Amino acid sequence: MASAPIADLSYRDYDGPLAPPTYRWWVIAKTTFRNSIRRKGLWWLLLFSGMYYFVMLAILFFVDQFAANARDGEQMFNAFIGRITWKTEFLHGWSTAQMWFLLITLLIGAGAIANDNRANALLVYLSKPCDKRDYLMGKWVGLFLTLLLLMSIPIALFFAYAGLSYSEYGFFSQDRTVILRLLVMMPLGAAFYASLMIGVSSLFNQGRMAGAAMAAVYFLTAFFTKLMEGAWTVMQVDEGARRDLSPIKNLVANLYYASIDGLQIGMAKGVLGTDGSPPFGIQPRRGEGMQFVPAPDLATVLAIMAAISALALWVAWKRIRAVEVVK
Amino acid sequence: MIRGFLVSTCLMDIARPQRVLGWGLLMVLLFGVGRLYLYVSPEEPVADAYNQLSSLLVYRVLMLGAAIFSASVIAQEVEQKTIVYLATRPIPRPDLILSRMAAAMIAVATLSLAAALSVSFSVYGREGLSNPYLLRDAKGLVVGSMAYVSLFTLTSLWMNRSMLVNLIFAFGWETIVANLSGNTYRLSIFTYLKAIAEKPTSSSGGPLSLLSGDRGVEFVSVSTAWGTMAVLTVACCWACAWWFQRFAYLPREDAE
Amino acid sequence: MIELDHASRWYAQVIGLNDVTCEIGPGVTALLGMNGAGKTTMMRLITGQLRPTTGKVRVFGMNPFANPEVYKLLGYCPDVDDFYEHMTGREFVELMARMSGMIPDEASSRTDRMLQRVGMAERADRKIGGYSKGMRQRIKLAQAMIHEPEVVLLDEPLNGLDPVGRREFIDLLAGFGEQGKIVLVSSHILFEVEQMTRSLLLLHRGRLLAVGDLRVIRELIDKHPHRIRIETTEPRTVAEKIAALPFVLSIQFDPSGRALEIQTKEADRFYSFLPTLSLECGLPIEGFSSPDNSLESVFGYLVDS
Repeated sequence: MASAPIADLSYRDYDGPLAPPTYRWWVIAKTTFRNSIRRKGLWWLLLFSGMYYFVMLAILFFVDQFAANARDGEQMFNAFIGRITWKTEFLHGWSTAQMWFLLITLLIGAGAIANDNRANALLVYLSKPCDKRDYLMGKWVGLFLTLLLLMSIPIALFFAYAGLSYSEYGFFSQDRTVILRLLVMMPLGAAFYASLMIGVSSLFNQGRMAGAAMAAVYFLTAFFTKLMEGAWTVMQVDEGARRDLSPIKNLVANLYYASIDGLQIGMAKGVLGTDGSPPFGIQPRRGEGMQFVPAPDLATVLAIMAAISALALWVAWKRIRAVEVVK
Repeated sequence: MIRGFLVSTCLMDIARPQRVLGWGLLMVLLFGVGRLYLYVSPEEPVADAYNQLSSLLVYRVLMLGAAIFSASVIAQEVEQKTIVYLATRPIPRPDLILSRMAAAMIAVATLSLAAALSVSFSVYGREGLSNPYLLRDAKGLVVGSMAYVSLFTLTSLWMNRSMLVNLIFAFGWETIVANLSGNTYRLSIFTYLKAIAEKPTSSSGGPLSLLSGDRGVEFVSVSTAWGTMAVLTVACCWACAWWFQRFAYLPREDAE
Repeated sequence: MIELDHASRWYAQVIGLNDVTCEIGPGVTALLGMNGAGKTTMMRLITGQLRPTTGKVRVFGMNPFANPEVYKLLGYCPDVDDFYEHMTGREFVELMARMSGMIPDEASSRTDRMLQRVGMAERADRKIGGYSKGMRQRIKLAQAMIHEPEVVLLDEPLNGLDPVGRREFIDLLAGFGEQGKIVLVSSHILFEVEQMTRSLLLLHRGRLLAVGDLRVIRELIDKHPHRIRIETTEPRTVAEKIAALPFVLSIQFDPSGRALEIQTKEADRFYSFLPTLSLECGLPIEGFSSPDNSLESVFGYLVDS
């Protein structure tokens, strides 16, 4: 018997070629992106994430205005601006925004796969000419692009204002590569959050539980980082700033980065090439001459972030199934 | 009898084996963190180390647990669409919600007490149970579980994405406001819990004192703290019961 | 008795239910309507999950919203397919029984009986997460009836059931109706509803289009002529005889050549004429039926109008 189509396709009147669906993942990514930016609370969280930059802009603006009207104002302003290390301001902005970036990630990503698990939407996705790779890549790219956009908005605004206003005060001349460093830092940060969230989301059937798990990991490890920062500070207060690091201080300096927050800050320090300095270059009274936790080895931090991201994505890969396995 | 049954059912749901395993792992991690902290701060007195860890980690576990478990009172039922079964049983709605809140409070208190024990054992070793600050912390943690669960349950009745709001409150507001001057520090629940637990002020300065809520100058008295927490808990519980009784709660069509 | 008195329910700018007044008494009543007609809204109003925006809803004279006294008498089988997936069917039904106020022993024994009744006795100890749709429906029905309510509301209860299951379900519901309970079944599968009851509530776009017995409703739709199909070996001869009747509007021959379909505005007169046609004219009438008396046609007429 000659082979014949299962169904009578004579009702079809399209005779042209059928192009292979090569960018299926992009369709999923676009949908994820569009759904994400429609969430109302997102823009409030974005506002809070940029608070450091807005406050800094406000302070610079008012100091500028004050100096314009004061006697010896220019001298005072030059002294004030001269203390600022611009790339550490980006570092401070980045580190203070981490909690808000996490909340943004939870808002747009906690249900990325969890909700599809719950609604059996994976059955629909994977029954189309769309495989696990497309699905995972699409979800990841959608989340990544959203996070990248949101992370870059406050940084871009601050960069533009400071670049236009303070170029003669060393904004560009302090480090001409700062824009490139920022362009490397932001995608790395966004990719890390996106990978983690995708992995955690795939483990649950409810977005809320996925968000809770991610929040628990973030906050508890973040407080561990603060604990190490506190231990570092205590070591500094009695010993002064110039003593050689003892093994314990080295351990503390490394453990400081043993959290999601810490990895992001460590990555930022490594990429920006700074250990950090006080905001506006103003040393606190109690902390005269104190060192910040030194930047970790960038290669090590990137390797750890890559390993964690890969693990999260591997978990997601294993968890994405069209068929629910009933035990 | 029905209230007891509701409490026990809700507790059994919260304390499912996989969940207990997860939280158990957390206790082990806290123990490890405690030992690590002692190693990196060898000169710090044991009592100070315990109080530092308690303020920094144990009370954060309390807040985190409250944010998660309070969602299981009603918000989870709405999201997983099982609210229809609860809402059509011959149980007065106030009884239903208050019983479930009681279960959440018990779970949060148990979790945070376990965290305190874990930290105490890590710092004091075998004498962890005779740590003088443990009992004080127990008071603070039990009162804190009631206060936070009642407040977070109320927010979960009001809004869809309450967990985010509760997390911002727990890790943003509670961290910052406790350190503010004037009377603003009184707007933080953590301020009152510290007073109830009679926590000594951290002398280390730096970020730890900020996170421990010790940057503020003023402190509340123990009696004021007890009174305020009692009023807050009762008011929030009453508001939850009234709100749940008054408004419709339907299965939500869109998953969050 | 379930009473709705000018009950309306709005969801922001969308009307879910629009000025509905009706009474639902003992027996099986079908709540019919297309998707989005307002059936679930009406169910939710009666089960006290929602308050009406205007008007009143009463169940045995009581306002059902969040009223435990009403819930003692009411059982609800919702359309949602969500459960506590980690529980077994037995645990879930027993939980609902305990929440209805039963002591543990009574809850356990009633659960066993109810699971037997809905055909889930052998599968009740598996987790609900592994159940098929039909099994979930049975568990839903079991929890709705575990406390022997006077009023049972079922929102699309036959979804996912196999034909045998549907038959059993329909018989079960009929049994409840015969016991004098108020059974309200919502569905949009008309031929199944026809097997359950002839008492209808028909909703369309939030409005109550019709209420009562199917046949009575059909007769009231006087602008639509009744269609009657006559099975006969001599259709043209029969047609010749009936064409002269003044109340016959049209005659159509079936392609098989063994039947014809007539349209008439006076179905009763035509039915009384049929015996005359058969006996006195000696014409072989093998059978007759009215496609019009189906629920689907009644529904179609009402909705289209």
